[in-house]
Amino acid sequence: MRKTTLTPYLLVAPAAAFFAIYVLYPIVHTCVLSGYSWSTVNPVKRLVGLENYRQLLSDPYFVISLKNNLLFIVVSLVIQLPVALLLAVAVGSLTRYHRLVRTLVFGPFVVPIVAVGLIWTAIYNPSFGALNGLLTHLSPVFEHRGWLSDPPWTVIYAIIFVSCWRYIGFHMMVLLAGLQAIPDELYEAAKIDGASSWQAFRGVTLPIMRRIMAVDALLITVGSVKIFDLNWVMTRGGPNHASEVLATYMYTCGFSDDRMGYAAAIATIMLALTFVATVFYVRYSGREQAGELA
Amino acid sequence: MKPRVGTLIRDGLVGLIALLFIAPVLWALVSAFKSQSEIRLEPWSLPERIAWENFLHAWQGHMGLYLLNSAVVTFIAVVIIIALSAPAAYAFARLQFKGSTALLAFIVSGLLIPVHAVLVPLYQFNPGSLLLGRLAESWAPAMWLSVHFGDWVAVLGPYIAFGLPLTVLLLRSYFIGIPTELSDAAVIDGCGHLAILRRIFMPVARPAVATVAIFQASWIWNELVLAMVFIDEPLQRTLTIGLMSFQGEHATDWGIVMAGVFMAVVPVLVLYFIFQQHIVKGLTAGAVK
Repeated sequence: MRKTTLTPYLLVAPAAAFFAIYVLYPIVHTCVLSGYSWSTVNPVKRLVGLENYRQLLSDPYFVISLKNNLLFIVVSLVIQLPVALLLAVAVGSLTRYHRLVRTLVFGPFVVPIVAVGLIWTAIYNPSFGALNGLLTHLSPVFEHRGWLSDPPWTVIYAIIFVSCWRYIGFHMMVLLAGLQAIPDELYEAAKIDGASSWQAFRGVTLPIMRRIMAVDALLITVGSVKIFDLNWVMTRGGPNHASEVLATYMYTCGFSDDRMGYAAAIATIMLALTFVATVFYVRYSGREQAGELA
Repeated sequence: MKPRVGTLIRDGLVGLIALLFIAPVLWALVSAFKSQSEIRLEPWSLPERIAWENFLHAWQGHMGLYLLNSAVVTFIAVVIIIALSAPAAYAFARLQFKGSTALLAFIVSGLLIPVHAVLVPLYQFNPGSLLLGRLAESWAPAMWLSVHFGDWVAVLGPYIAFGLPLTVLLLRSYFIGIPTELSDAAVIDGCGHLAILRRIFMPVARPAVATVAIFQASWIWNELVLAMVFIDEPLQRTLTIGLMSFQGEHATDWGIVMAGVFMAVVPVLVLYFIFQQHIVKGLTAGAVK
């Protein structure tokens, strides 16, 4: 039954058309719009070429946003991956309760994200927050300590911490699935060769897990470029833009300040960063695979 | 054999870490039952008197409506995502046609795209809203829909579109694994492709459909920025923006805010404890595939 008909195209068409109308076309449109200056109040578009990008480079809030996104990527990678791997290994070898522990660690990931933001806003609250409630028992320094306000440089770390708290369970599950796929014989062989459990971890677990960890690292990176919800719910990017990230700044520029062309330029940069990260990881994990084959 | 001390210490440590992960949620859920003055007095105490009025305020603050709205929007989006993705996945899995690889790559390219990249153009030009507006000029039901659920029509478009890539990809890989003998019989009976898809592929692929439905439902349930841009009408607010406006109205009374959080969190946690394996599988579907 190999004849050329229209049927396959008709089956694919609705999904492809929908995707083209709502994702692909708007993306191209965003890139184009980033070359104009316009607002919803004054919808006449003025062609300004790369002016928006030139302005961005000298915009201190954009620079803060970009720095915060990079910080988000680096800290998330450094904390989430190792802790998730450690937990996955520990939970995998747990003699009792391993189901319960898995359930609890994954728990934060199913809590709706706006609720997470509100919960932690309350926990960080200077006067009645749970965190200061604990810390004041250690030292009176922490009385009325405002984790989301003062000093401003702690704010972004406070938010990154919440993000790690929410996503480590997710990454633990992903890595756990990878660990469970490793055949027991490999460990038995390592044991027979007299390898210690650390040697087995380095010699068997890590090399096999490398690919799934690369995928995971890509997810963390792309997720950190897109990060919006927690920052928006907890601080709106404040105080004074201290916890601004590209997505919050893009939203503020476009939908509060009504600078649509400028917002489109920021969105284009987010898109470019996502693209670069994806190409990097695909290349990297591809090369790893080739290396394993050779 | 007695467990070694090392094992005990390790188990205890892991248990402690697990407790750290759940403590913040528990703290918030307990705080929902405390009055503002009790929270201010001692953040870690148990409620001396259960402040039911917090929940009364949360209910009067339309938290119930927001939950219902999110459930309806999420349901509609997931159903349409699957209805659009299944035929495409079937074609990619079973039919050979020119350009299939390119078409698949085109749709899958959407996997990692941030929604912020479509906000500005869609805000200016939302195909669903424009179409509905045009229809509403001459057709009463469209008018009704546009008045009562116009914002949902606007927000559902991108929700559906961003759900397609992973759904097509996952269903396709499941469909490929379905033995051809199953569908050959139907072909001999003269069934068309859509009938084969509906009667054979979809029932067999039920686990994959469930997995991908959970994944899509979860991100749509949590989606914030598209809802902020496209939903203006207070009665059409979904849970995310509803919860935020609720917090805005009660910014100084955290007992009430935590009652709102409680109403948003507890249904999800109950579902999680009941369907744990399915939910974990669904939520990690994007990474493990």
